[in-house]
Amino acid sequence: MEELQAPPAMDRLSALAAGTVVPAEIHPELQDEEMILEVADFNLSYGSKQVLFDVNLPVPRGKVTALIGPSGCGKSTLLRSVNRMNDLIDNVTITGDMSLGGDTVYGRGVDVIELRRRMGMVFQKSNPFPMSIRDNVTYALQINGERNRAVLNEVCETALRGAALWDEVHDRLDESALGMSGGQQQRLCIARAIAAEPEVLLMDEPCSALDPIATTRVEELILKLRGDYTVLIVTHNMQQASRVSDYTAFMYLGQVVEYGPTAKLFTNPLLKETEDYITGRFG
Amino acid sequence: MSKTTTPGKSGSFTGRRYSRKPRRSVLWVDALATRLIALSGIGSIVAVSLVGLFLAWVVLPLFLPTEISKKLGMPVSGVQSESGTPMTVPVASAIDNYGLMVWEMRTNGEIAVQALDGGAILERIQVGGGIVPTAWAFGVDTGPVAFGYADGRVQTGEMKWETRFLADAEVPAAALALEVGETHIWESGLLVRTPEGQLRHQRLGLELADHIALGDSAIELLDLAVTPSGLVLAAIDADLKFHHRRLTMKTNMLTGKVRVRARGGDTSLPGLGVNSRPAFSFLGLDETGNLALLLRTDGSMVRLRNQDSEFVVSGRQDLVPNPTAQVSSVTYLNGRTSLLVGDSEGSVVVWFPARAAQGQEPVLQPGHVLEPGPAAVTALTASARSRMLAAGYADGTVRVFNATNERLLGEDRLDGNVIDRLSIAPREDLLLVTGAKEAGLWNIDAPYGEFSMGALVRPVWYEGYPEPTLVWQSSAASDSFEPKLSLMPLIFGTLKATFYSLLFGLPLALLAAIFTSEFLPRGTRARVKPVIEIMASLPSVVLGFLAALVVAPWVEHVVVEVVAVLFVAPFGVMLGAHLWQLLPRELAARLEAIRPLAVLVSLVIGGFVGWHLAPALTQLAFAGDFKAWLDGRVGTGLSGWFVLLIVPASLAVGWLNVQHGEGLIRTRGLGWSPLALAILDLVRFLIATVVAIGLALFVGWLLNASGWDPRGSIFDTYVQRNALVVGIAMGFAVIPLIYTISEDALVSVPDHLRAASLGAGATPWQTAVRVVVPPAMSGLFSAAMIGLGRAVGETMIVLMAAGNTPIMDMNIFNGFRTLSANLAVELPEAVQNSTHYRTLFLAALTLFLMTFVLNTVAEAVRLHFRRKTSRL
Ligand SMILES: Nc1ncnc2c1ncn2[C@@H]1O[C@H](COP(=O)(O)OP(=O)(O)OP(=O)(O)O)[C@@H](O)[C@H]1O
Ligand SMILES: [Mg+2]
Repeated sequence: MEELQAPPAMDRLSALAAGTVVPAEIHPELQDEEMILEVADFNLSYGSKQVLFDVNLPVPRGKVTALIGPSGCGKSTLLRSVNRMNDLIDNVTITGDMSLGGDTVYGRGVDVIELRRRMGMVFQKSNPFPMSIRDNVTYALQINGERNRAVLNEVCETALRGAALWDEVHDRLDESALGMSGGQQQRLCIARAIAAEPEVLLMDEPCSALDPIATTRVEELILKLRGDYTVLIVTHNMQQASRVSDYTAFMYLGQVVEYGPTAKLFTNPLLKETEDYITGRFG
Repeated sequence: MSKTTTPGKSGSFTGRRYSRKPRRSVLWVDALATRLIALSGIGSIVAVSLVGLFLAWVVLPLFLPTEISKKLGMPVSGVQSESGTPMTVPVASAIDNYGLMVWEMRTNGEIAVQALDGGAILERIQVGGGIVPTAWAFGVDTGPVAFGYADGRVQTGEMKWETRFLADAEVPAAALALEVGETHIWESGLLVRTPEGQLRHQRLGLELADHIALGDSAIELLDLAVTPSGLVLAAIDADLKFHHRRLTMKTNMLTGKVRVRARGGDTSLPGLGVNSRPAFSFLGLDETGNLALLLRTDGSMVRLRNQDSEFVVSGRQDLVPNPTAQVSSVTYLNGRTSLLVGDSEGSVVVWFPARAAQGQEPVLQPGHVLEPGPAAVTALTASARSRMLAAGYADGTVRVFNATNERLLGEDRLDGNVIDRLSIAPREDLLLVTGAKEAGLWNIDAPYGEFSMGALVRPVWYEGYPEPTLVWQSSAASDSFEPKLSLMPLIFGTLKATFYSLLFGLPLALLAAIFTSEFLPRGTRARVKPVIEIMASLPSVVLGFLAALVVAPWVEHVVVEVVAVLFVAPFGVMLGAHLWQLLPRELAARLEAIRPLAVLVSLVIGGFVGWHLAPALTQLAFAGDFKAWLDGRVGTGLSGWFVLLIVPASLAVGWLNVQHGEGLIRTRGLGWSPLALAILDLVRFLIATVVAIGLALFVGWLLNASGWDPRGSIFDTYVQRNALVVGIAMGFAVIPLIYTISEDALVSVPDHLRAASLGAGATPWQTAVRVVVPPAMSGLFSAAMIGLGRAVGETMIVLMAAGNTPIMDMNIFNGFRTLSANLAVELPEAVQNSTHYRTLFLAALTLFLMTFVLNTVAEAVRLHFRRKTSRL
């Protein structure tokens, strides 16, 4: 314990760089939270290249949790692992498990389709389907067999209002979604994700392609969702992380380095490495 | 390239500095590449247009206008009276093969041989040694002849052009100086210098045999038919006796004299109830010599049939219904089947017997009515080569027609003359016109007279057919055969081949493409794709002969099995899917990896069950004998309707089930256990199956009860090489093609769309259908179109496996002939520049245009789809 509490900064980083697994600093505040998603000793390799090392990350229910870290440290990989999108990639080996609301994610006998329906995902690059705006938003319901027009329209409106898009598109719901601006498309993807009432909303740098106004909208939306939804968001924008998230996890080279309440992590981190990263001294 | 010395000073990061100006060689290569690309682009467009142009060039002569025109005038051969009009009328005439001379027989029994160039009389032959014949019969061209006399005797003989080549020493000196094509009158004939430089002599030879006594009174009408078993002769004499003789010639080895033996009988016409009021104007024997037509001047026709050597009346008909019109000229068309009847009011009608039902007498049909003429028809003559005919009228008008397509090929006038006699040259390039006062040699410029635009696509009434039909039949053994060149059966065959190949190939190829691009791991896909593509490199001739020699005989034995498997195997897969749902969740998820295998297994089990169900099905639905059922000999049409309707019925019921059943379950079944839901699903599926079968049976029963039987159209008599076999074989050619292109189209759909869909919890199938296929639509469509193009143009497979019968029959169990196969079969043996040859080129042009239009439409539709999804 001693060496963990006050390791010389460069030692810890070089230890991580050498591939040594160093347990994360997890703030005690998290122990008071009810967890919806638990990542336990999770390892992932693409072929022979290991990308995630013994990740342990409990995600509290109804809160916004941000993942930060330098490029290539495995944030997206971790996010994709949560709803098993990595299954689509050949040559991925995984050890460890996750649990969503108590149900195993990687254990035997998991219905992946059902698992994915319990989560929503927003990707870094907006990816609306080449169909009408309405069909985009209600896609998850339609594939679930919902055919009632009234239900679909109602959900469509609620989700679009939630994504702060309703006013802009309510008069062209039946036009192709591909005719929207990039920012609108990203909010449409958010609307599509929340229309399915997911237990967890996974967002991978949702604002990286948006202008400041659209970014503000999305951030407002995330704040609005807090409480009803659990949000796990990857961001490179420290201000954004501090504005929208309740908890923040700092990842480095495939490992979680420090994880705690956002305010504490940004003002008073336990580790010097975290502070260095947040203040932009490396990365 | 020049290195700077001090980095930083000059603003260089790498320590190097580059010239901003593109190098000359780069510019040069760029210019060259631009030109080369433009050149090859334009070149390929030009090449394709040239192919089209060449085809059009060969086809063009078919569409050129035809005409007849006066070439040279000639004196009338007959001896002239004081007033300048001949005292005799020509009864027969013919032009020789080379178009140099002509013979003409007149009513006085004199045959005059005349040079066409200059009109000099070369020889006069008196038939019957001074006794003027009272009746005469000639073959259509030279050949057997017969003359009848007032004493009831008949003399047969042979008249033909005698041609021999002479050595220079044998001919008079004057002939030696002949230039090529020039003629010299010598020894009752003409000497001519051939293009090869030889001297050729030609004269008319007439050899008559002994007289045959038929009766005691004057022979009035006489006809002669050349049958495979010898000459047949028919005559009517002044006593109204009908004489019928089969002639056998015997040549005496020693004397060279020909002895004629005649066998036959005489029948009294009044005894048969046939009188001669008004008078008979025509007696004709058909090709077999067993059917005689007697025509009176009022158009009433009596047909006599040889029944066990006795002639009986087998039919009476009025061939000139117009009461004011009189028969004025009658002759047989080439082949002695169609009768040309011209009347005093200028109409010419072609009558021929339509094929009659077994045991019934054929009735003559007015198959073709030619354009009415300006005056009474005074001369009718038929070409010995085709269905060309010439008609002369009382006002001097002469017309040339094609009887089959009723085309007027040309018209001109010999003013102030009644046309007495017309004669078409053997090559159909010259027409001898003999009027009352003058004669003339005319050109016929109608090399493709048997071609007509209408006949290509509209039904044409051919000799012997019960009604106008669309037929392609370009050749036959008989000389008098008439080519039937309708492109419709070939176009139909092409479309049929295309339809049945795509019916099997398209769904399979598309599903296979979706399967590999959406369901297989990338690594496996990389291995599967080349394997399927190898199929495309199978030479189609190999596919063709496998289809013809292996698949066709095999399918013939197991056709019911094949059909049963086609229906039961998909059912097996669906049932398997529903049973899979019954598995406990844990187990199902654990077995996830082997699910594709399970699909395969249920497919195989379904196929196996279908295969072994077939005998029972045959008993149940096809009365135990499928082929007899197809022939319509046993069973009812119900089972046929069932086979046709079960797919649409299943689709309709399945759609209803999904549309309404699913929602019901969602509202009522909330909170049910997964097992209960799965059982409910299974029950629903089984009920839907029963309902679909019931629906198909019910609608089939309704259709059957209302008298419609699918047999006779879509199902009919089984022929070993048929559309089903071609569909299977062509599948091997078309599937890899469609598969590769559509797979590429599917793979090129960006992965982020798949990720979005799968991330939203869609199944791979839902993702494929809802998200991947729509943007890939343009690619899938062009894949289908390229497959279609291949099917349209495919030659070897259809040539070998389709039976090549140019019939228009929807029947999946019957063969067909496509445009391409027809070209492959017939072009090598078509006589160059003949109508047949050029029509084949027209077929090629049609094929070219079909694929061209197909590709153009495909490209337009593809672009339309692409514009819709271009913003991905
Ligand atoms: N499909 C893949 N196959 C192989 N390696 C991959 C694959 N996807 C990601 N990687 C590697 O895994 C590591 C982590 O990638 P990941 O995308 O998770 O990083 P990230 O933290 O999201 O980075 P960024 O902030 O730039 O998005 C990287 O080194 C990357 O090269
Ligand atoms: Mg990332």
